[in-house]
Amino acid sequence: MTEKELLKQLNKLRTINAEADFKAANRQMLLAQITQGEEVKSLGYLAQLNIFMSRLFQPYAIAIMIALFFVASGAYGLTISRQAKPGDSLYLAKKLSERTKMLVAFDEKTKARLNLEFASNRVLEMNLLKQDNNQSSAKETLKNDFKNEINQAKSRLAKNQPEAKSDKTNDFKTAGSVKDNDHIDVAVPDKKVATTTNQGAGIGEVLEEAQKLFDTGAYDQAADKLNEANKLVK
Amino acid sequence: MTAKPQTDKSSNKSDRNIFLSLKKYQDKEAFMQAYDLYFDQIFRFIFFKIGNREDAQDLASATFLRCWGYVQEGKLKSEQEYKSLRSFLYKIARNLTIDYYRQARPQASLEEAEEIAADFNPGLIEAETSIEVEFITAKLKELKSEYRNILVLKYVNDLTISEIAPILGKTKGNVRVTLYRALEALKNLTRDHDGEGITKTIK
Repeated sequence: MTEKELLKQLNKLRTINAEADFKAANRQMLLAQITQGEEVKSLGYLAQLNIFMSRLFQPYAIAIMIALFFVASGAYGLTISRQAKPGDSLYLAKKLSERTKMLVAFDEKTKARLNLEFASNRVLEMNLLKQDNNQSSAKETLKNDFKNEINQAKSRLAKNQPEAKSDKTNDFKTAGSVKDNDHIDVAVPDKKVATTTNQGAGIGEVLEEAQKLFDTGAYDQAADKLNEANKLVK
Repeated sequence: MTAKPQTDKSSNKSDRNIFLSLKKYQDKEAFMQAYDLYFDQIFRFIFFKIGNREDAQDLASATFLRCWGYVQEGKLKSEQEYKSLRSFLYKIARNLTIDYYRQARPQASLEEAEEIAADFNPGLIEAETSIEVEFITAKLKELKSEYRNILVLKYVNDLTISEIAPILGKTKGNVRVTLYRALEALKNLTRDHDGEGITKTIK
């Protein structure tokens, strides 16, 4: 293959693009993220004129005009996107936003918090859908999503347990040395270990309760339990 | 040495305006314009690193979010360092891809993460792509990640040498040398095939 043919082949790789639906939904999500409910910031007159004049004679001028239209109409869509429920056009943008947040979160604790936040979102959405009898499929999906978020939160929080174990090991060594000094109160648990273990167990129990409340349709109480769990994680 | 790729001058001009609008005014409209211009390019760059469409889309999305974060914090780098906004976006994308692999292997060093990232699987490319695309993609896979990255940046996404240098943390001279070697390596891999023949044989 000659170099020319090779470059031609490489150029053909430009046909690999992101899915159009994803791109459009993600655009809405991004717009929602960057404007955060506020109106599109207005630049000073001179700044606007300066940028406008420099862009006016470019081939992209029309595309920019279209983009401006979408930005203006998008500002309205932002607040709606946060309240979107399954079936709404902006629901995909909301879910994408969640996935992106999870993707850029680095440590397990932050991810667990995000799982709890998303579980709360599912509770709110279920509350919005509960009166609608035509949404059984969406409700089922929400139930599964809620369960997944809770399970993921539990498993991520469990990954922090080795730290507690190592504390425990050290504390038992201390207890052993106490024993060597002929004290018989070796079995008295160290306060630090007890606190760590109880906290871990506490979150697990709270999440179990949240799951049960959600399954029985007590969504407001389930949301309260999730808030409680979130505070315990901190 | 090599055929000069087509350069989209209007795109570069537009890029400068966007860069300045973001740096001086944190212009949200300009940012969305950048999204429209560059999302597919950034997606493609990540896709050729990780070989998974869904994750590549998510990472491309995260790239733009992180870029906006930098804009808000006034951390948009100077034009001298990053020749264009898209250079800056590519740099963020590259770092996020490395983070992505480090999540899977937290102990991995930067070099190891890049090597894991090199474990690209072209089999994940959907059937929608043509046989010719599959062929060249398979050949790209056989190259080391450094060569693959530079070929994608230059010949697929049309970046200039000046734009590629800060993304890969190399001098312009190094970029030219690496690019030459990468193209030679790809030529060697495709030596026994001719462009027309591939299509005829496989079809």
